[in-house]
Amino acid sequence: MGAGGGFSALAGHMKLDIRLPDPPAGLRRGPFRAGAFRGALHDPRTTVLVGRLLGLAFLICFLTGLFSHLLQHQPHWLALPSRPVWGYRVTQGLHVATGIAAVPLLLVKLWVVYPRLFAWPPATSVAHALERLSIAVLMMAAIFELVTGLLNIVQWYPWPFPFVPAHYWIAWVAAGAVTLHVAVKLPLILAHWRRPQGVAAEREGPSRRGLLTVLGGGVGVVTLATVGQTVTPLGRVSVLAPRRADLGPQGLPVNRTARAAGVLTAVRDPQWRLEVAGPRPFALTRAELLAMPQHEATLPITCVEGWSASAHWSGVRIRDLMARAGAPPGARLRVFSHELFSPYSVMDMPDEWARDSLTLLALMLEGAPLAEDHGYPARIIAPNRPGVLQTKWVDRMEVLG
Amino acid sequence: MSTAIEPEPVRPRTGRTVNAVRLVLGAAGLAGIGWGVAGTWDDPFLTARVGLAKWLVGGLLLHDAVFAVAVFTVAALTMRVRPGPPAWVRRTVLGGAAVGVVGTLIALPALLRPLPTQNPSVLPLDYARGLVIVWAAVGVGTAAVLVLRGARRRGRGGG
Repeated sequence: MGAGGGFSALAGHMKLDIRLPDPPAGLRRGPFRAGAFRGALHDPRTTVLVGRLLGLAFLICFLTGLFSHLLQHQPHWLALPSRPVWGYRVTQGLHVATGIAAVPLLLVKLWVVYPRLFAWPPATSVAHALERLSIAVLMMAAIFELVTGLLNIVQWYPWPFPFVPAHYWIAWVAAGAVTLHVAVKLPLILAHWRRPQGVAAEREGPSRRGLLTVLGGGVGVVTLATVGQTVTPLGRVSVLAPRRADLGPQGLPVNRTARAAGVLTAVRDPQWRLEVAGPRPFALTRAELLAMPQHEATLPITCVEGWSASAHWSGVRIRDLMARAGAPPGARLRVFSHELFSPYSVMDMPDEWARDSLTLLALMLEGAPLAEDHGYPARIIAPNRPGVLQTKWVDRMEVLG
Repeated sequence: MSTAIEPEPVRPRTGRTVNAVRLVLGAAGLAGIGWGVAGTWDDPFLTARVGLAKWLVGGLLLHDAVFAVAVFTVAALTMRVRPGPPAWVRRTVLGGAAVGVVGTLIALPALLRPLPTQNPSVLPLDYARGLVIVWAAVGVGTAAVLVLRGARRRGRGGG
C-alpha cells in the first residue's frame, strides 16, 4: 500500500525515486513480523471511512480558527461584517467542539493505521521514506493542536511558549500536512470511497459497524460532556465542561478577573473619567455617562476558549460617543484599557462595529452596575466579536480618521 | 480472526486527472507546511524553540510508544485470556472501555490542572464527579449494547 498509491508512484513519474536496499531480514522482529497485527479492521476501507470524518473535522477547525485569527488581527484591506450577532459564537463554539470531537476521531484513525508503523521494509525508497516522514509531521502537528487546545480551554499553560502563535502556526503545518497526505493517498482514497460491491454486511469477527459504533459513542460522549459551555441549554448535561454559562459574577463567566488584570486601584478611583480623544475631545464621569441616552442590547460574550453566554447589557452607544467627539464618517476607534501587560489592553474597532447601533460602552449588566470582573466602570460590548476584543475597564478612547 | 472483509483487493485509482489533482494538492500541502514552519521560525514570541520541539515530538512519542502500545496490549490480552466470555462480549466491553478512556482523556486537563485558578468561573464544577457520571453512562450504554447483541444472536440461533 505504501508503494501502491504513495509518493513513490507520484515521484516515480518524475524520475525522483531512489530505491533503498532491503534491511537484513534478521531485524524483522516483534511488531515488524508478518501477521503481528491480526485484526481485520486495519484496512484501507476503514481508514477512508474514519479518515474522511477526521479530515472534515480538521477542515472545520482550520477554517473557524483562521476566521477567529482574522477577527483578532484584522488587516486594513479586509472588511468583516458586525452581523449576525451570533456569528462568532457559532464559529468559535464549533471550533472548540469540533476540536474536542477530533480527539476520538484521531485516536481511532491512528488505531486503524497503527500496524503500518511497522511496515516491512521500513522504507523501500527515498520517496517512501519522505512520505513516512510527512506522516510523522502530520501526527506531531495534529496531536500538538489538540493537546494545546484542550489545555488552553482550562487556562493551563505548562509549556515555555505563548499559546496563540504556537497554536496558529502549527495549525498551518497540520493543514498542509493533511493536504499533502490526501494528495499522497488519493488513489487509495478514491478506490475505497464507496462500499465494495457484493460484500456481506454481517460476518463473524470484529465489524466495521462495531468500530463506527465505538467511534460514534466516543464523539457523542465527549461532545455532550463539554458542548454545554456554549450550547447553554445543555449546561447541566456537560459535566466535564470547563465553564458553565450561568456560573460567575452576575451569572456570567469571566475570562480575566479585575485582580488578575491588576486594575483594582484604577477602577475604584472616584476620579475615574472616560477620556475621548478626537476633533472635539471630552471627558465624562460614570454619572455623566449614565445621564446620556441609554441603549440596551442582548449580546453574547464569546470567548476564544469556546464558551459563550448571552447577557443583557445597557449603556451608551459607541456611535453616539464618536459623534459627540466629532468623528468623521467611516472613522475607526482605538480603545485603551486600564489593564496593563496584556496583548488586548489596546483594541482597534473597525468602522463596521463602531457604527453598529448594538455596539455599546456598557455600564450595566442585567440591570445592575457592571461587576468589577465584568469591566466596571465601563466596558465595550459589540456583536459578532471575540471576547478578548470586548475591552473591559475602559480608560480612554481615540477617534482615528 | 483474520477474516478478510473485502472479497478481492480494490485497485488504487489512478489516471491523468487524479494525478493532476494530486500534484495540485501536494504543492498546496507543501506550501502550507512551509508557511507554518517559516511562521513558527520567524515569530518574535516563539523563541523557546527547543521547548516547542519537545512538545511536538513528545506528543508523537506519547501516542506511538506509550498510548498505542497500552491499547493494543490490553486489547490482545482481553481477547486471549482463557476461560472467559465469548469474543463478541469481550469486543463489546473493549469498545465501551474505549469510549470511557476517551472521556477520561477529555477530563484530564480539568482534573490535573493545578488549583486554585485565579478565576472562580474557570473549572467551576466537580470534575471527578463528572468523570464518574461519564463512566456510569458508558457502562449503561455498553450493557444495553450487550443485551441487544445477545438478543440478536439468540434470534439468529447463533448462541
